[in-house]
Amino acid sequence: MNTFVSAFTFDSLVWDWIIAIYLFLTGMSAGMVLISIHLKRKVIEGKASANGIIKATAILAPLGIISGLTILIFHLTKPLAFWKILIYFNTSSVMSMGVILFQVYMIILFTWIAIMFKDELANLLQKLFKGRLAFVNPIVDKLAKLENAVELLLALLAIMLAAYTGFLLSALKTYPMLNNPVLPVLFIFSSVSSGAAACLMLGIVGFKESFHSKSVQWIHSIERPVVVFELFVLLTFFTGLIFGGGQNEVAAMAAIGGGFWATWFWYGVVGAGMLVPLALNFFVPTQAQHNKAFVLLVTSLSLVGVLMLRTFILYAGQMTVV
Amino acid sequence: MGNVKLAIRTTISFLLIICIYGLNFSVAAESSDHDALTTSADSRHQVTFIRDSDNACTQCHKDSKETRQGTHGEKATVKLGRDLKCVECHNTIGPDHRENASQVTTYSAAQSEVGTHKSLLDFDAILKATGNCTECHTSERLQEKTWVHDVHAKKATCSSCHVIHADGEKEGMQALERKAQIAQCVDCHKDFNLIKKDKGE
Amino acid sequence: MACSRRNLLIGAGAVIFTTGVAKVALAKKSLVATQDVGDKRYGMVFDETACIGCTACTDACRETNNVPEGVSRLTIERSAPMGEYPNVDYTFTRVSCQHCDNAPCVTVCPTGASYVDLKTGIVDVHSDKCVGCGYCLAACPYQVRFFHPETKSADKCNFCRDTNLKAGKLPACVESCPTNALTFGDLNDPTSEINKVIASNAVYRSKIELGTEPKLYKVADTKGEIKR
Repeated sequence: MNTFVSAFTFDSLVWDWIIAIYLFLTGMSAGMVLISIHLKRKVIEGKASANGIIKATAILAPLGIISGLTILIFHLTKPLAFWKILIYFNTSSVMSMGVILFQVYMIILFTWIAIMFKDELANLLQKLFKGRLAFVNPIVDKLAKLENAVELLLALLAIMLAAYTGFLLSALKTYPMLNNPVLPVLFIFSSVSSGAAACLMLGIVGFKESFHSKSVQWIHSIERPVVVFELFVLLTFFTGLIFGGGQNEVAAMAAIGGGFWATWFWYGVVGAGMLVPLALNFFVPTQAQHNKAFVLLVTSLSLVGVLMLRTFILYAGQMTVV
Repeated sequence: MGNVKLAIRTTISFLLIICIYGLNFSVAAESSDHDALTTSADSRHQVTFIRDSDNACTQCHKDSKETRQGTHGEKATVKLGRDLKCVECHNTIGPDHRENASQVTTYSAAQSEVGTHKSLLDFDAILKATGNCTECHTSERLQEKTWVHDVHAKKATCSSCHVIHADGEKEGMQALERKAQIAQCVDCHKDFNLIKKDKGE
Repeated sequence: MACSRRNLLIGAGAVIFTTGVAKVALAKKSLVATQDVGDKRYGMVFDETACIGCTACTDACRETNNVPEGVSRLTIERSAPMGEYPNVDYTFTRVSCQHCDNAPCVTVCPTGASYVDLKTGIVDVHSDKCVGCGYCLAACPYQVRFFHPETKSADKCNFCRDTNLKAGKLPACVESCPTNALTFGDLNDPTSEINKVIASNAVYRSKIELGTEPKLYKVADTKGEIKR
């Protein structure tokens, strides 16, 4: 119990688990958007809005980012002053740039969803507001002409957002483990892997997308390479630190060499979050995999793994000061 | 001339009267002492042997035993299993130590005097003076209490900051609030800084 | 061929010119710590050889700047004991804002609440601009920032800018130090006391390899290893 408490409370700790959840939700949102954009453009034949994966993204991607930002606002010491972060900005601050990115991302995300689901949106508005919001439909129709541009822009923004969560931490000179050029790359991959897991979980279990649909097949096909590459990036992340020597090495060894966070990393992040899903997908016969319980198990393991990774990076990263 | 003689005689007799009057007081005081003795003499049949080696000391240093109880009283008795004796700290000394005071180990406040004229003892004198204390108050225990003990080990005697014959911890360093303790550091070190400056260092 | 020879000459000229300029620029920086930022560039020297670790400065800071218990703008860090009784010794170091010219806290602040005052070189916080994200607390390599429990803003030493300095006095820590271990002054003024102290002592600054350009100089203790 004592090690548990001391692992979550130490002097150099500034950002706690709330930030880890926020990083996770933001990454998941970006990952889902990236996957769905690819599915819509290259994989799905016919109407995208009928696809379970797209539906899952349309719900979870905005929900993730909005809830992430909400907990972030309440994590400020002055939550009621959060609007100041919107009106004052500082071009040298990664966070300030991130705030602008968030706003653009959310606008484009909602536009994209509105374009994809414009018929459903028209029906919904008619049902709820009885034509009082009918002016929205022509606007969406006009925006629909820009669908391609919106999609490409959103994909770019999603990549930036996934990387942003990394840059936010890698800008901190204080902590050698976080001040690491690989971090944004690592976070892009963990975003995609959490996005894939979330897409499958809600798409198959919630929206009953068929196991045999092309989109599910495609996500399965990227799952493994993404996780393997993520492991490789993790390897470069820590070898880079260890080869760097000095406090970098100290930070790396404090994180993965032993203690609470090392256990968390090896058993939780690498074991339960990456190797077990990989092994399950590899060893369990395909027939048995076509089962909602199996999908739920594997995707929750991946999601928990990514959340644990974010928590690990955040806490273990703040343990060692330069 | 006769006037002068008269004046001297009057003065002498006046002084004599004053002397007799004063003697009267001291006799009165002694007689009251006698009263106290006679009252205690009622229980005189309970004979107690005076085996107290401190008895000789307390004849003159009347309050010393009581004032020492405050700092080296019960706790010390519990630790040692007996009460402390004067000679344990102040050296074995004869009754003639008034003529030869150097035999007595005394604990003077070496550097706690205010101002820039402090009597600075050399290391050996300080270590000799604190040696008696550190037998029980070992350096480890002192360090545990506060690091300040360490840095003054060769620079000040214990009694520079602590009052041994005191009423409990109501005097000396331990009686002070944290801020007042810091003020002690500031005051003394400021003086040393001035001394340094005067020397042109 | 003629053309390449011409290029070579131009290149050589450029190399000579730039290295020459660089040398002049570097030469300027020797000993006296002036730099062309603002009118004044307040800095401080902490003399480790003089500090006795009494922490009178910490208390003075707390009182002058109304710093609540539990947080502090200034602490004195004591080393582990060195040596054997009766020769045990300690070193003390000052932990407080270093007033970096290139302050990471200012760089990362999303609202510009954390700023360098160009007139004095002092790093300070606009309390009403601060939203309390904590980015500066994390970004400071010296780990000297904290959230003020009352204002909920990021807070730290500002050389008593709005208290003692405003009243024309020296910072509270400097005033309270019994051993004159602290020297405060304008680094831009070559004749100032602080520049004399810097020029005549072996001084160092913490973590300069990070490029923060701190303005807190320390006179190294003569005992033990310097822990930057």
